[in-house]
Formats: sequence, structure tokens, C-alpha cells
Amino acid sequence: MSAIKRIGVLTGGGDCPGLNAVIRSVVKTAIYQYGIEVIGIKDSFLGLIENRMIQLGNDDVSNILTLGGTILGTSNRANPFDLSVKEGNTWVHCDVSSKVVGHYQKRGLDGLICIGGDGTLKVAKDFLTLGLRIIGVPKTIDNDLSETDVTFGFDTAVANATDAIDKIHTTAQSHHRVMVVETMGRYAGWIALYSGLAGGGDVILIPEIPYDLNKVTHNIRERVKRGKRFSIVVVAEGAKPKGGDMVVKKMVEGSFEPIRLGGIGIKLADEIEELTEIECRAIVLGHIQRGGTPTAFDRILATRFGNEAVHLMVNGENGLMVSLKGNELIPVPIERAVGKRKEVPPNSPLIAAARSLDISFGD
Amino acid sequence: MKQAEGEIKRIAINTGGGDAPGLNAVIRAIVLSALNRGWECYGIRDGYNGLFLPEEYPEGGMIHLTRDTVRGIAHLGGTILGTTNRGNPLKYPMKGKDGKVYEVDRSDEVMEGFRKHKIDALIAIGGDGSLSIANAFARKGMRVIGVPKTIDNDLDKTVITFGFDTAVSFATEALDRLHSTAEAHRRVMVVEVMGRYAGWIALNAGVSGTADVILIPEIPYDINKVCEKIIERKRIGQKYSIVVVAEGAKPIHGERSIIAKEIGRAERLGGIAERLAQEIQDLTGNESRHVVLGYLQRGGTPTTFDRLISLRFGAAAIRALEQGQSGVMVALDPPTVKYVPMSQVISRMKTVPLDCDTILTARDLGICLGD
Repeated sequence: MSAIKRIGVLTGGGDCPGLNAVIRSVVKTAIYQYGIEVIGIKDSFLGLIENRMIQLGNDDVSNILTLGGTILGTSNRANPFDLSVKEGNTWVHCDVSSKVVGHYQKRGLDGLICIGGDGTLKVAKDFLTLGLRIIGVPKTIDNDLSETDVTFGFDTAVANATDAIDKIHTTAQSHHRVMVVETMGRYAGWIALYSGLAGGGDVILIPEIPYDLNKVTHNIRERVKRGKRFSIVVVAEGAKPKGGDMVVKKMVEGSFEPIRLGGIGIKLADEIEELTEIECRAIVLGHIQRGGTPTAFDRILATRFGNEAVHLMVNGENGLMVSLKGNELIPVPIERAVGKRKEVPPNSPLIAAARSLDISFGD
Repeated sequence: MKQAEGEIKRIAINTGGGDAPGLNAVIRAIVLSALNRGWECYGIRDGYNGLFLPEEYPEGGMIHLTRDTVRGIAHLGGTILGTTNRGNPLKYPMKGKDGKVYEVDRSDEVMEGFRKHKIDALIAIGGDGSLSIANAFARKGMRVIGVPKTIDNDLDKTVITFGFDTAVSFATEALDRLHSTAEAHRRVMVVEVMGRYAGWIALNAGVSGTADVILIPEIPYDINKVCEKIIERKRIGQKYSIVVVAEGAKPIHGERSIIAKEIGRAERLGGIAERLAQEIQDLTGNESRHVVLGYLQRGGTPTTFDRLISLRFGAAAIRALEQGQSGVMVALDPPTVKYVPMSQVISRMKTVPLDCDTILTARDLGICLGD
């Protein structure tokens, strides 16, 4: 029999549709299959630093399957090894990891399920050496985590972005405009590629393929020659011109992701309008991509992930991340998954398919 | 409302200004109603450009509209005729010899175009800008019926315009999505919606989407009142807030945020949300983000409500022509459709009355309106 009697669960980093579905699956599996307790930790690792935790029962997780966000709250500035604390007007960094270990032990936790992206999982990995038992669940709408084919939240983000592109299509067509749609995705182009393909984009610009502005405008002009006086350009927030840099919106002190990308859409729209003299508008999809109810696909994936995480925990595993390979759940060491980004391979079959439809990648 | 003389054989349809969900449904209803009376239908491309700039349309600036052309379009967003915000023939922007851009009146060329194409009547689908233009043609002797179109719902003399319900539905859905993100991160989300100088979209979407603060142009806001509300919510344990702001909202004693003003077109509002989010973050210390819904509000498939209104408006426009009316706009006066002189419509904008039921509802629910 397993020695596991009580486990903690936390959600870290940016919110992501499906987080509540994972929490629900963890709680139900723990209670119904194994009869163990689940403690919900508030606001990522902040809850362990500040001892803010609640016991989760079946009632707490009923009716949350369809909800976006996370009932536990989250934070993307909660690294206990390097916590930024504001003292007056200056930020100071301190290591409060011992508080986390203390509260973990005091609460009698036998393990911790960490649902998060690269930043959260890196922190989780470092706690392994301090004696915490941890199982990771990969989460990011950007789909940029390696060692798993896909993460939950991505499908919803793509569906939301595609929906938006559909709406923009009609306006672009009616006004004969070039519409530049900026999607999320950080340093990877997954959301832009998938939503661009699904939404019938004419140009898709992703960080993995630096673009040449002249190639982009050439494609738009060719369409005009064919009688298509509008074009849809889907651009990932991390896209950059050949030999150029990504557009940084601002820097956020104390965050897992201090560099906030954004602004490429507006820049590109101005440039295209100047070069082609076709009216051009930019739309930044922003947070509406990550909010809202998860798609059926994401709900199922999230449910499977939560379920598997509890199985692994109870089976005495430690330091593993749940992962999807094909249709199989295959755990991998957390350390193997973090620190390297899963990018769109430029030779991906999806890119090849797009190219044969005459979609331009600006190269 | 004068009675127009002469038999109608051929009519033209024009769509002007920003696109709105439901335009294609109006076009469909007009064409089918006209064809059923034995009238011919032509669609003018891109506002009036197809008529007075024929050189730009080698394949023809006038589209012959048949049953086939309008089949399966009632549910499509946009307009099959195309539209433009820069095609006002009364104030057409043209480059002078000195390189500067001037506004030139080219309405006589449009009138000439009507004669050349043997157009007996015009149905103009548009907002106040487009209807002002249409009214000018009516005064020059053209038989004209207007159909009100604006997602902003700021047209006077009609209870509602098509496109508005779709815009509000989308904005509400966006607010629903942002709620979960705002709550998960304990953030203030400032959401900028369209509406020009009227607060209809912000008010209706804000109330439906359970916003905590709604700022509309009709009520200049006090930033301190907005922050008080956010801090008060925090005090009672609600660590996040949703602020909906109309693009035309402005602070007490302050100015609207304007993106651009170009000759030959209306000024473009925008930027208020970004400004407001920064101010709220500075004053409350609460992390704040802004989202601009922008063009997503006017795109996409019209709601059932908008489709039905559009079809009713289109058919009513043809009935008006048949009755010999001209210079009037179709208007909704539930449960019926009526006709009002266009001159009355374009003289003023319909803004949100401060004592209207939705404002009272918002206040009763404890929503802060910034005053």
C-alpha cells in the first residue's frame, strides 16, 4: 500500500483553459479511487510561502469543469528561490524556499502536484532536491513545452483565435483591407500557425521563420492582382524580421517571464500600409485567447492529465511530468522537459502543407 | 414625406461606412422583394465608388444582383458589395496641384451615374454619414430610401439598428472570457469597446457581462471614483475587477483619446483603455491590463435578432418605394416598422439617456459609472 495520505495541488504561471478540469480530476481521483486528501494551494507557490491552503472536497470541484481560469488562483511571479519583494520603491530578491518546505511539512503533505508551464516546473524541479515529492502537469496555451506532444489550453486558444480571424475576414473583405492579427505564443509560433491555417490566413509569420517584409508585401500585391483586394496576416507576438529583433512591449520585474512581447502587429500594419498603400489595420487578440471555457479536447486532456498525476503520485513516483505522446500518457522526468522550448520545426509537414496552399511565411 | 412620381424599373443598392453584421441580409431582402415586383437590382461597389470612379473597376462598378447573387448570404458578415469609409462623394479627398489634399463635392458625377445606368431609385444602407449623403441625393431629385445601419446604435428615430445586437453579444462573450483570467491573476482588466460618441455597446455589454465599472461618453468619469470602486471590491475580498470603457469615454474636464484624424473621413477614436489601465495601476497598485476588442465586434455572422431586423428592414424599404415614398428611412418602432424623414435622423445622434432603464439597472446593481 502506498504511504501517500495527503497531497497538495497548485496552479502556476498564466491562466489557461483546462486548469479547473485538472484540479477537478485530481480531487475526484484522489478521493474516489484512493481515499486520500487533497489540499489546494492558493496563488501558486505564494500559498506555500504564506501558508494559504484549503482542503478540497468533492463539493469544491463540482461544476468547475467548464470554467476557465483556476479556482486556486495563480501567479507568474512566485519563485520562492528568487522572490522579488518590494521594499519601498526598490525590488529586493530573497530565497524563501525554506518557508515552502516548512509549510509543506507542517501541513503533512506527502506530495505536491504542480500544474504549470516552464517557469513553474523549473521551480518544482528545484524543490525535489529539498525533499519534496513532486509530479508535474504541463500547462501552457502556447504549446511550447518540450517532451509532450500537446498541452491543454492550446486547443482552446487556437479555437478562440480562429474564431477571431473568421470575424475579421468579413471586415477585411468588405473594406478591402489588410488585417494584421497578432496572436500569443511567446517565442513559438504554434498558435499563429494553427489558427492561421484554420482561419484561412494568407500570410503567417512565426518566430521560427524570420520574415522579409518585401516577401510579405509581394504576396499581398500578388493577391490584389488576382482580384483579392484584402489579405489576412496572422503574426505571432514573437515573430521578427530577418536580422531584426522581436518587439518587446515591456519588462516586468519579478516575473517568471520578465520580457513581455507585443506590438509587432501594429508595427507590421504600419509598414505594410506604407509599402503597399493598401489600408491596413492591426488587431491584438490578447487575453481573450486564454480566457473562457475550455474546448472538449482540452477538457478531456486536462482530465486525463490530472488523473494520471494522482496515479503516479500514489505509485510512489517522484520528479516526473505527465506527458502525452501520440495518444499515450507517458511520464518523463521534469528536468528533461524544462529549460528547452518546443518550437515549430521549419520542416514540419504542417508548414509544407501551408506552403503548397500558397500561404506565405515571409521567407 | 413626398410622393415620388414615375414607375420603377431598376433600383440601386449602396452600402457605406463601416461594415456591420446583417448588411448581406438586408441586401438579400431588398433584392428578393424587388425581383418579386419585377424590378431590376444593381449593387454599387464600395460605397458610391463603383458609380463615379468606373475606371477603378475594369470588371464593372455595378453588380447585377439576381436570386443567385443573394443566395446563401443572409448569415454572412460583411457586405458582398464592399464598402469604404473614405468615399464620401460630397467631400471626396483629392490631391490638389500643390500636393495638399482637398475635399471636393463630386455628387453631380454620382447623379450622372444614376442617369447613365437608368437607376430609378436608390436604397442606401448606412449610418448617419451615409444617410446624410443619401439625403443629399434625395434633394437633388433622386428617389431614395434609407436603411439604418450601425453597430453603435447611435442613430436617432429608430429603436435599434441591425449589427448592434451582434456587437453586444460578442463584447459580452469577450467579457465572460476575461472574467476567468482577471480572477485567476487578481487583475483589473480594462476592456475597450466600440460605440463612437455613444455608450450603447459599453453599457449593454457591461451590464450583461457583469462588469464592475462602465464608462460611457455620456457620463464623463472621475478616475478617483473608478479607483474607489476597485479598492472597495478588494476590501470585501473581490481581488479583481472588470472595467468596460467605450472608445469615446472621457474624464471630467478631459479629452477623448483619438488615434487618427484624416481628411475625408471621420476621426478614429481609441486608446482610452491603455491610458486608463496605466492610471488605475498607478493609483491602486493593482496589476492592470487592457484589451481592445476592436474589429472583432463588427465581424462575423449576425445574431438571429440582427438577421431578422435586417430582412425586415430590407423588405420594408421596397414597400416604401412601392408606396411612392422618398427621402425617408426605415425605422423600428416595435412591434412595427415605420418610415421617418431622413433629415430628422441625420440632425442628431442618439446617445444613452442618463435616466434610461439600463442605466438605472446598472446603478441598482452597484456598477460604478465613474460619477
